[in-house]
Amino acid sequence: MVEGIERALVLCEGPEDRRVVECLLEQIGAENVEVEAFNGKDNLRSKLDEVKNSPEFAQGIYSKILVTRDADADWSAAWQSVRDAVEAKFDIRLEDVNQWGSINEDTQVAAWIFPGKEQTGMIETLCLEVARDTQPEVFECLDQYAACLRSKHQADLHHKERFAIWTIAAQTFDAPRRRLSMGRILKNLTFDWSNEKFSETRAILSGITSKP
Amino acid sequence: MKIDFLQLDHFRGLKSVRFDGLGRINLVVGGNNTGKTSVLEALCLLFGDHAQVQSLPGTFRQNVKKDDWQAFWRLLGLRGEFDEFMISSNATKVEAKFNRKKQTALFRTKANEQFNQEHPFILFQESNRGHIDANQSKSVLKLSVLPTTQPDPLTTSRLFNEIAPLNPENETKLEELLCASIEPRLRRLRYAKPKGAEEHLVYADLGNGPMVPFTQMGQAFARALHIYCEIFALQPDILLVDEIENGLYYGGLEDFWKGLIAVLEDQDVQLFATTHSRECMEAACKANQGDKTSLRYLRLDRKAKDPETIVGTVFNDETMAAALESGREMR
Repeated sequence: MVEGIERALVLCEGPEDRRVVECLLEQIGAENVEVEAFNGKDNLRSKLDEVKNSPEFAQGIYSKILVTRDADADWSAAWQSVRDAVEAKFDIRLEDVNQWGSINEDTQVAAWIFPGKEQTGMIETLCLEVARDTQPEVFECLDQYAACLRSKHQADLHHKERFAIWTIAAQTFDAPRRRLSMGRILKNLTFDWSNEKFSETRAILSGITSKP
Repeated sequence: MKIDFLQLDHFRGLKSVRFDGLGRINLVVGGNNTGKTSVLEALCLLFGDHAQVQSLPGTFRQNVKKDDWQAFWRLLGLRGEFDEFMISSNATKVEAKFNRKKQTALFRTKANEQFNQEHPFILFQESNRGHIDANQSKSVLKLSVLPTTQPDPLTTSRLFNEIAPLNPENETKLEELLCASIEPRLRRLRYAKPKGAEEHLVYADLGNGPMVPFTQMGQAFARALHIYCEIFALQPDILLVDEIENGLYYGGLEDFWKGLIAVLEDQDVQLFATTHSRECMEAACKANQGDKTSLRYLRLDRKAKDPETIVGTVFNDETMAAALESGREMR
């Protein structure tokens, strides 16, 4: 990133989310966007504090800041938590997700909760939905496996567990098949970044590159 | 804290900058020409004694005799020649007024008092190089100032010689600090004039033969020794240090800070220091693990879209530590 050039900043919950966001930004041809991970929702406030006190923020280099996190099991709680953190650090109350509010004359802020508005899950959930469209045969196995486990343990697989199993099931190359990290998935598996299930995310990411 | 906030309005290149929540240690950082030195100069005007204010034009800046001396007093205001400005803190404030006779009058009072328009503390006109009214120049807080240039070794030595009569324990403390932070071989220091020498100097016993004059022991030793002498001998309320990392090896900065934090807390001194060094900022943060003192970074930034505007940001070592972890540059 060239020093001093006006740019946008996307904050993601972890490095996995960061990789997905970077791929989507590349797909929409977004330039001058910085993506940083805050490594767990408990660190969001300290990350916002760091951003607020950064030279880039003081100099007015960040034109837009998009704060993202996963909904996990409770979308409303996740949204409330992000909204409170943004208000505590930047003194601005966001009305809704994907609505930009001005922190000052230079910088706007918005929030987004993965996998999408009022949905539970995480960024991996969104990726799985996209993968389901392109590899339905893999999901025949995966769904049966999940149903079998549900009947045995009376509990659903967690989004992360489902995603981990998918990374194994979706591999077409030779054994041994191992669980893949997001980096390896993006390198080794085919992903349809133009899938319409990413459209909501693409729309908000497109918004960060437009001028305030 | 002695000073809780500092506000600079129309002072030098700063339109309006305010630093709130100041700490025991205040590291002033920022890019080139953003006003770091101006912050120290403002503090000097707020708290300097007669001699410190009189010599201010040449303390932190290069100056070419009369020309720059005059330029300094003329250009203190934001818009150049004879502009009005205001510097304020919770203890003292300074205001500059300009009159038709091309005179700049600086008034200094306690924060809650009105200026006495009849008695400026400094009256500058072309002919007088900034005349200072000695009666008005008494400060409410005692200030020590260390510019970038290394002070005369005789001054350092004389200061060292004043420490023991004030409090013999402080001389021992100083030796222990230097031993822990700069020179592990150091056993003791003595103010001495050996046979054949012309002047008294501080000599160091390194346990390996005759004592060595401190001037032969490297810049870091001399720098640290002078800072500690200034604190222990002069017992200031506020210490100003320009480019504090000067002469210090980056690997030893953390130990240097650990020693300085201990002294500042022990002697109840508030520090304002400028630095360009990322290592210095990081070392201060690491040395303060466990919250031994209140450490603040005061950063000046020029707005990208409006380079005339400089903004001030204050953040603490917790923010600095988070930035270090994520690899963000905070200078």
